[in-house]
Amino acid sequence: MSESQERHYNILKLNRLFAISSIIFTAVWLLVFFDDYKRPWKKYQKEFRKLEIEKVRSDLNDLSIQLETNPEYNQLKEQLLSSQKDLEGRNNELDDIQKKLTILEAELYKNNQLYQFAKADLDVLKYDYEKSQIGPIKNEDIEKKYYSLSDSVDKYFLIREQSEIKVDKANKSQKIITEEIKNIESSLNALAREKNMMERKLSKVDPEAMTLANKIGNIVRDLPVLDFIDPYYEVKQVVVNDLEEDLVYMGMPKVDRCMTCHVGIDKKGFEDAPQPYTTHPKIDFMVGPSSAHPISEFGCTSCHLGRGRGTGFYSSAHSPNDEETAHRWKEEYDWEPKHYWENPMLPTRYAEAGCYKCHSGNMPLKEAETLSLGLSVFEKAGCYSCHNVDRWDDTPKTGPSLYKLASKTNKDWTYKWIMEPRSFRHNTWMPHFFKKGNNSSPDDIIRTEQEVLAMTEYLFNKSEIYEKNSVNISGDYDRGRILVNSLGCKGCHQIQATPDPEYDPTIQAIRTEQGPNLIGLGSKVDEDWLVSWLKNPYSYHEGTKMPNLRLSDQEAIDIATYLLADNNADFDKMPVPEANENILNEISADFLSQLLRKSQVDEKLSSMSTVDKLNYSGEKLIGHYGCYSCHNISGFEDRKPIGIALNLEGSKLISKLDFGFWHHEIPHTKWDWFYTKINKPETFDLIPNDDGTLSVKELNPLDKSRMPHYGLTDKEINGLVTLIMGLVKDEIPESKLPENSPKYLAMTQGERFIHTNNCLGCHKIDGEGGAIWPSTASWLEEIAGSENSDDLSVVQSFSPPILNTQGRKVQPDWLLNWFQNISMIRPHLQVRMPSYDFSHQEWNSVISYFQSKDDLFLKYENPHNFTKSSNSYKAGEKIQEEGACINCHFYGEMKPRQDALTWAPNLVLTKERLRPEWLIEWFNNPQEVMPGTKMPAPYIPVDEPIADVKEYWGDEVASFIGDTTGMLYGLIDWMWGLEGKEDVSTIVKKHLDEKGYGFISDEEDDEWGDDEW
Amino acid sequence: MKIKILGMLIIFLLVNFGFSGDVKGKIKFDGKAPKMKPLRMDADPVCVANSDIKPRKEWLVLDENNGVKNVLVYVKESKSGSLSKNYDTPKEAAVIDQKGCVYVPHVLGVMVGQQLDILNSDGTLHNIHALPKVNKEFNKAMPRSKKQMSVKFDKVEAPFKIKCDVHPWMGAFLGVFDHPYFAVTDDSGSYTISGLAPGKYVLEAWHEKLGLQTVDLSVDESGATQNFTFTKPKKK
Repeated sequence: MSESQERHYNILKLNRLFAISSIIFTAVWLLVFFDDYKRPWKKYQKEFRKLEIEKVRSDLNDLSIQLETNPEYNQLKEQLLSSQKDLEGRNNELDDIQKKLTILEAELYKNNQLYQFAKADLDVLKYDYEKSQIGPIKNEDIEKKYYSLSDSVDKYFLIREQSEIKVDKANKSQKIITEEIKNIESSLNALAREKNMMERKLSKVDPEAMTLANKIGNIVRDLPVLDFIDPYYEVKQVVVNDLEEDLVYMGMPKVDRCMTCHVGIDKKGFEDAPQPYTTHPKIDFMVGPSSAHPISEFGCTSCHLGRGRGTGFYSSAHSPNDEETAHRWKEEYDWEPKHYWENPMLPTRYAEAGCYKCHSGNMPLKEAETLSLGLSVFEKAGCYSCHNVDRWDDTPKTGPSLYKLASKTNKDWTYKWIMEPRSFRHNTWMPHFFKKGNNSSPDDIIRTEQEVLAMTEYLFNKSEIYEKNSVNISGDYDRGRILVNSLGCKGCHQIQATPDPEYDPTIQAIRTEQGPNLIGLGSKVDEDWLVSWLKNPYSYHEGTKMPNLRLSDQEAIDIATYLLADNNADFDKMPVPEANENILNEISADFLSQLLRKSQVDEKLSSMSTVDKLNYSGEKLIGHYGCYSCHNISGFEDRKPIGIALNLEGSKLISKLDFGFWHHEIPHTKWDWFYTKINKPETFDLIPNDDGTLSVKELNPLDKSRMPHYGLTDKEINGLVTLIMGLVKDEIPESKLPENSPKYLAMTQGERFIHTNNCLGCHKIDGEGGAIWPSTASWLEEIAGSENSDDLSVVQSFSPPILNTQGRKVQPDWLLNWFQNISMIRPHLQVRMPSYDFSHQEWNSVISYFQSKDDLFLKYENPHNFTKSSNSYKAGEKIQEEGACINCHFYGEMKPRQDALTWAPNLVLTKERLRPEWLIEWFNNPQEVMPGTKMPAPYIPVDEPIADVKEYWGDEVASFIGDTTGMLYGLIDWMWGLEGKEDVSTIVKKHLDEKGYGFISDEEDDEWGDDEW
Repeated sequence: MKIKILGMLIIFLLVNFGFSGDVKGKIKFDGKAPKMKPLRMDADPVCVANSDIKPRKEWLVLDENNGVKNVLVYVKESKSGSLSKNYDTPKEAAVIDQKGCVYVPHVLGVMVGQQLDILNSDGTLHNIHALPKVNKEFNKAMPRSKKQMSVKFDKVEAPFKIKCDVHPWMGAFLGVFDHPYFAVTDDSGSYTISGLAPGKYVLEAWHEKLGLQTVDLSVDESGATQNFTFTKPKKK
């Protein structure tokens, strides 16, 4: 045994150590591989693959069944079979042809060779021959030889040609036999194309449908290490180069990997699959390759926010829509909010916020109901008055003008109203500034009472004179009620005494809140003021949205009588306090001390009377609370709004939102902060105690949160939060914005004008609007019974007209003129198009909206020409007579034959009002243009036997047989030739006064509803 | 395979023709009949001239035993799967006439794809305005010279109104079915639905004023009897 080497370590031990560590190293190395290989998203892709296989299989199955039951397919299949059989039977024949063909082709080759050789010989001889021709002595021998060779070349040429023909023929007969089969196969393939595609698709995803090689490939491609080449399961991503992700100091192209797990998002057919496999719910509008927002161009997080590069549940910054979901996510995915990602995904209820950054000009936004509601509420509640948002720059104030307040109501009413608006009108948009959580202690109340008293004093002190007309006739309550129900007031106003427990705020519902709910007016307004206002609202306030309904004195007093009969007794009983010198001193001092020293304040106060103090503090308080933001008030014309601008509020860092003492109670998200702020604005002045009670922070009265309480529903607040989350600073490249075409501009401008002025409160356009219809129905029920009011087509015919195809329909100059001088068109209507004082420009924007919508642009058009002696005119006259247009339409002074119930426009107006091209469209199918219209398509005998037409309809009509448009143009010619009185309003009024509408009502006649029954 | 199909065909035929009975019944009105005033047709003199008998309103037609005419009774669905998906569209057209300025019949059912001939026996202008919600709305004028027009409905739909805007009193109701198992009660309020295979069904009886009643019905080889009693509807 040799002496062991002297070492400081033991080899054996070291070897062991190495062995162990190498094993550990290998294990770690394997673990690393395994960990890298086992990504969480793979399980989703695997699961989805199963779903997809299942779906493709079932689709394939359906298609197979469909094909098998398709008679055409079966017939072709049979044909193929028989052709194939036929072919088999003719195999010998084909073989023969083939054999023959081989021989023939050899022969052809041989003959071709012979021909080519002969031709070559000839070419050589040709030279000798030509040479011999030049010399003085002709070599006849050569000449003879040349000609004989030339003949034999021709002979060989013919022989070759014949061989060619034979080969062609043989080829052809072979082709005929195989062609038939080919044809059948290709038509079979055409029928089964979808099925084949599906089969191909299946062979890509379904291992069972794969070839062996592919099966092996399918396994190998996803093996660890090898899976870098072309794996089936991989991170899928969309890179949107022109959208940048703001990563603090630099922008990076947007990369979205959401579809790595949401594998079915752009595939139809997984609508009912569970998450994350579900198809996008609006695939034809979003995400889908042919939609307006294909995923390849927009990605996902450009709308939804979140961290697009994330490939895990947590790392992609999901946001739960409700607490229950949050809880479930925590359990299932170990989810928690991703604190250091500024823009976490929008919860689904706010998802539409993403629409606003590109579509801030529209109203409403199609397919974005929540956001549109938010826009509508924002505008209606006048949020823009205190909080600047560019979109609403130059928008008139949302509240009524208070310049001439004293002529309209009294101080007591005003005091009580400011104090607690909803105790007078339960659904008013005027918010509560007082009696909120942060100013309701007994001391607070004593102070705020004096504040409101002071503001009231100031408003009345500054009120200007309004020249009211007094009407010396008496009004009739019932007539007034019927007028309010029938004139169209309810397109903008409600008369709803108590809150509707089923109230669902929608854009349509808000349309009837354009003006105030007309309850309790007896407690509020002065009769002469009301009559004057009704007769001409613009005389009281130039900028009012209330239009002029051209009421007669009698109508105005009737309506006033009806509206004033409603008093709010509880409201009337509310006490109004006396002025309290001490408190007024306190309030005035709070404001004075902002400018003066304490001693000066006292001096100043002692020099002021009580009324002075009221006026002084009233003015200051109106400035403090920002009343002037929504109302016109003397002395506040140039004041800036009191709230912060919200233009970039959605991009605000969450750290800039003060959660006060509410960090634990309110989830730490921007949207929850906004929700709280709107729902209960004073929240952050309050402190939540452990026992569930609230205490108020120690604050000076002027430091308290002033944001008032609107009493909005959950749905409305969610709309507002959606909008605010959409007010972001993102820079959007032109390529992603809607095309800035003249049509788009005209449409958006028009849509907003129509929304702001509530045209859809009365009119319907393409199925939207018509908020007045229920009111028309209730009026009809009163005058004609439920038999008629239940019939939607009757309701429609007594409601303001549907404005579909309006751009194509009317002559633009007529429309502009009519807008400015409204006159009667539909003689049976009670509802009245009001007169608005819009400028030419504003009306033109409406007209250009209608035209752009119909792809027609303001242009000069040739007048329609016709002659009364033409066949066309005479044919039209006959068609009109047979069609009995006079049954419903006025022909100038000539009244329709039927009762007023079915009356329709005076046809004398047509030539100035309507466009002939549109009339053709209209006559062809009125229901297509205006669903539900009572106008029938005029009957024209266009496809009747000519002899019959001649007999019944005359030669002129017969000359247009087979020509629908020709006959209809005849009708237009006739109408253009119709002369007579344009304004039939007096005839109509007289008739209605004497005979009424002639409704037939079961209830009246048949005692339906009688108690005996 | 062929034998199987043949077998199924035989079973199908047996089920359909061998063992099917009639579903019969009577619709009664429980209550006091309303007094009806005669129909006023003054709006169009032709209408007055054309009515040989005094026309009456048709929103509730009772016989002396309170049997209700014009109730549309139909199979709503099958609970035992014995309603086939494909019934042949009848070759003969259904007919509705405008006669004496009322629709005859007042209530009718047609099958999807079945031709409906609209006649105008009056020498006056009518317009036939169908107000379906599922099918396509139409409104066609029929001048006095136009004696017939035809339409088809391509979707199943609960009874909807057909009216004439020229003569506001004119109204008819039409239901569209994808099977032939429907009937309208006659003057005495009786109906018969033939050819229904034994099985469990949901049967509905619809009347324009009295409303809708739904019952579960089981049909055996000898058919079934199902009566309905309507009362005055509650005033809204």
